[in-house]
Amino acid sequence: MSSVPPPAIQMTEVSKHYRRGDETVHVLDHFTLTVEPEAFVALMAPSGSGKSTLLNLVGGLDRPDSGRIEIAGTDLATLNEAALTRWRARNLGFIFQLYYLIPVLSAARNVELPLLLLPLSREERHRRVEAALTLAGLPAERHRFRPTELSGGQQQRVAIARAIVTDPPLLLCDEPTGDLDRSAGDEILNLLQTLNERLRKTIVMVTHDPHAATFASRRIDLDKGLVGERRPAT
Amino acid sequence: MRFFREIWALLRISIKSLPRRLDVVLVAVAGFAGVVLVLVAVLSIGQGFKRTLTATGVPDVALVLRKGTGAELSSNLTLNDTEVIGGESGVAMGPHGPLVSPELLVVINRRKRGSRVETNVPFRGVGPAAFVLHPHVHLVAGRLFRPGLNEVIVGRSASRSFAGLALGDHFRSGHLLWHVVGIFSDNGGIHSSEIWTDLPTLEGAYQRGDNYSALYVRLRKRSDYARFRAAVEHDPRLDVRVEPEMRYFAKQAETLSKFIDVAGTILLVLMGLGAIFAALNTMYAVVADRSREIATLRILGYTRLPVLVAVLLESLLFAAAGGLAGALLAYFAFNGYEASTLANFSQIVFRFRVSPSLMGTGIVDALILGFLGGIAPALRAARRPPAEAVRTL
Amino acid sequence: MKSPLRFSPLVLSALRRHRLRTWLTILSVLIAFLLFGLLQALNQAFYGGIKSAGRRILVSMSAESLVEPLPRAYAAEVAAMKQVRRVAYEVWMGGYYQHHNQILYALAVSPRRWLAEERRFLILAPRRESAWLKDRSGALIGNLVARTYGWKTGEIVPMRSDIWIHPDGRNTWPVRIDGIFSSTKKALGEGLLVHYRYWNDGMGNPNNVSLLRIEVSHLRDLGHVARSIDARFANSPYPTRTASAQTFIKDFINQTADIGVIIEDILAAVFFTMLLVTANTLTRSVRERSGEIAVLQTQGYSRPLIFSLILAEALVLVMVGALAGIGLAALIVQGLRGALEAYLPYLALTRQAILMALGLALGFAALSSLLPVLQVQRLRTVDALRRG
Repeated sequence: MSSVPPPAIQMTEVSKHYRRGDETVHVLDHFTLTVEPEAFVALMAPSGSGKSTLLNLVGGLDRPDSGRIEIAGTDLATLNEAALTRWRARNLGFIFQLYYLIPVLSAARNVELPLLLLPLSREERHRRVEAALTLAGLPAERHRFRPTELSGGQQQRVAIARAIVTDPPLLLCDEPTGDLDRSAGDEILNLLQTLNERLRKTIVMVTHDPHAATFASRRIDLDKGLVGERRPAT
Repeated sequence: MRFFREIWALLRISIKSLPRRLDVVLVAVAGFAGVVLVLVAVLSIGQGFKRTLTATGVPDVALVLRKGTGAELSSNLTLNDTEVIGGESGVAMGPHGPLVSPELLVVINRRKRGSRVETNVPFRGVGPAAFVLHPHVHLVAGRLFRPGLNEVIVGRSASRSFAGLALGDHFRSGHLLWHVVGIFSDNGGIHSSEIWTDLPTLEGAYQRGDNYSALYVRLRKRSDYARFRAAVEHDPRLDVRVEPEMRYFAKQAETLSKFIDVAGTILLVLMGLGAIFAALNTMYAVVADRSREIATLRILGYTRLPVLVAVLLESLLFAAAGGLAGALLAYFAFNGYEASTLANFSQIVFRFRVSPSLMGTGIVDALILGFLGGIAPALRAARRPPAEAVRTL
Repeated sequence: MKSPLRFSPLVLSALRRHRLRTWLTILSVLIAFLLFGLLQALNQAFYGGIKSAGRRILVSMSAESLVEPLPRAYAAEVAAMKQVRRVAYEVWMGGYYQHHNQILYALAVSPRRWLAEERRFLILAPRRESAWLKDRSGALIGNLVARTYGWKTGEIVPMRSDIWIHPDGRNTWPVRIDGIFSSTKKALGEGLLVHYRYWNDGMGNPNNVSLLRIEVSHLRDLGHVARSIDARFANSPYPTRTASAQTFIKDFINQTADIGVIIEDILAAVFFTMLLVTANTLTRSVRERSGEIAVLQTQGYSRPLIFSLILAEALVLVMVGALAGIGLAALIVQGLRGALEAYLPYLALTRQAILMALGLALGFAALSSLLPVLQVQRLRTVDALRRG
């Protein structure tokens, strides 16, 4: 066997369609994509072009009609629903435009949620939650705040802490700055960059904002299932 | 472990979010509480009535009635019968001869307290051995009647329920004036609904000569019953039938108990259906409210079964809270509530009885309804693909 | 052109939004009104008999208790009173057939007087009537009794009595069936009538009666006659208690149905709870749509119009459920009637009860849309749009 690690994401000839009324929408049509380990990829696409579908497929939330998806060498088609759920808990971190924090839980409790799935002691969970929140840049005095008591940028930091607290190799971000102003957005993007460079996380970020895409190391343009790729000038 | 941690995380979220959706929760709880309140209240009527009648009498006393009659009120025996029956085998002996009590039962019109309804209150004339044969009966206030002076003692329930029967009261029945000199208790038995005086006085007042209604007979041993019965019913001098005292009174509860059982069952089925519809509505609303939370957790790697269990537990939690509230409400509103009903042309006063086991039944029924109302929404919550839930937001 | 029905697609689409919720709500309302209907029918079964008693009829009984007799001579004395039109008397036989729980509603009456009073309610061949009049140990029975036991004309029935024992100790009162009548008065259909003389002879001529039935000439005399009868016998060995027949029936029912009243209260609580649940559902559905409602407002829909739309939605929900519930109750009552005729002859869902249910449904629809309407009132269009 070669010692070269498998790609972080390998999508081969993936197709996916939805029915909307009488119409069939081909969101992805024989789509192929390779993301190397430790890359930071920006997927650029206008809305409605299937970028969320793409993330759902990579994240194992949805199954393709045809084609093959391998994440770090694991063929998702070989996992059943339960196995896929468990696999997700260990290997993926999700970050959403609207954060999706649980409003009735404190920031720390929100971050703890994925850790409850692992066999960890209470102390160990606490230690990891504090570490993740600190790494994500939420001031220590705010760790016990509820999401509604935090600014948008701070909420996204909590969501990022939640995504990295189990130390997954791959982070999937769906318009992570879509609901933030420019300066807060830039801070989040800088944080993602740091996570990519220092912790060597592979990051796939879907965005329609060209400015956000400049933070990534690679940019892929997605348009109605046709993929054009353009490396940003470095 | 992981399974329980998942459930716990889900439950903690739902518990913490309760204040935010208080209205929905309260309505759900009120729905269950209403059903349990009614169920427990209705069943407590039957239990209380049954208890009054089964608490009446003792195992070693037999009741002798005229053959062909169904109840004391229509039965008719004479002094001669007393002597013959007293001499039969199996009859216990006291210091003054056989332990038997000839008793005359009539009913008199008395107004129910707090209403204008005239009711038929049982009025019993008893022999001197009556207090030996009815060991549960004891004075709680005043003194015993003196024979021949139109004095009566009144059962505690009758005294409370009917007008003019308090200690010291005089009441007119027909053309005679009676004086209430004592109040007695029957430890929850049927005699608490009655007025008692001595037999000759009542016979005189109602021109019955030496006729009376029924003879209560204390047996030497409980096992002497069969022998006593055979002797009495085959005696050519007698035309009577024998029944154990306790069975006689227990039988009187049957009709009403049956009615309450049937009515209660119909009520339970209908209200249960209503409660299930309401619970379904509530739980679907809860699941809809929480679909984003649940989807988020599913994306984080939470599995289906804990989601299902947690939603179901939430429904059961509402049911348990409502059930408990309903049962307690029923207890405080109805336990000991005194009501009376007509049986065999005379009033029986009894208390509603909300027993712990009845409250338990109510809560268990609520849990069953909570399960039936929660399972479908729980399945929906667990089955829904998280991507879909997130997309529709 | 201006028909308010042009808004109906709007209302229907609101109901179709959450089909399941709509159905569940309708079913809850259905159950509530089904309970209501059954309760009303039961109530009618208990109290329906009161109205069947004639309004000009007084009943006179022993003041001491209902099991004490009155002298038959009282009948003649009362009949001689000025405002009294006629007097009948009867003895309650306490009859049963074979077993104590097969009760026969048997009365010993004066046959001519009884027929004179009840003939207009009877369907009976004159031939049968005269056969009975001639047969001192004969009986007329109602068609319901005949059906219950399968008895035919000419048969001899070994009736027993729980109350009356011949001087020789027997309690059997065998009667020959001389005729079977059907009656427009339901209670009569369960009756069994024997000659008063049959009872009186059998008992050794005590010349007693259980009660007197007194018809007064004018309704206005009712109270006066009752008082003067009681005054007349107050100091005799057999004082009377006289009241209108309707009062007597009501008293008797109230003694039995103390429990019935409680059950009724409880059911009212159930009804209320279920309506609470339904109102909450409606409130939710309006709250969810606050955004859309705001949009309608920006389109020039006035508040009253929006309120009407919400009310219409509530009306559809409640009326569909209420009508189905009452309809189901009517079907059930209809089905039970035949089976229970012998026990609850007055069991019926009256038109009055149905109207009451419809009134309640209307009131409830209005009440349950009140809360959401208040919510809309507080809702500022701009806020709602922002939220939506």
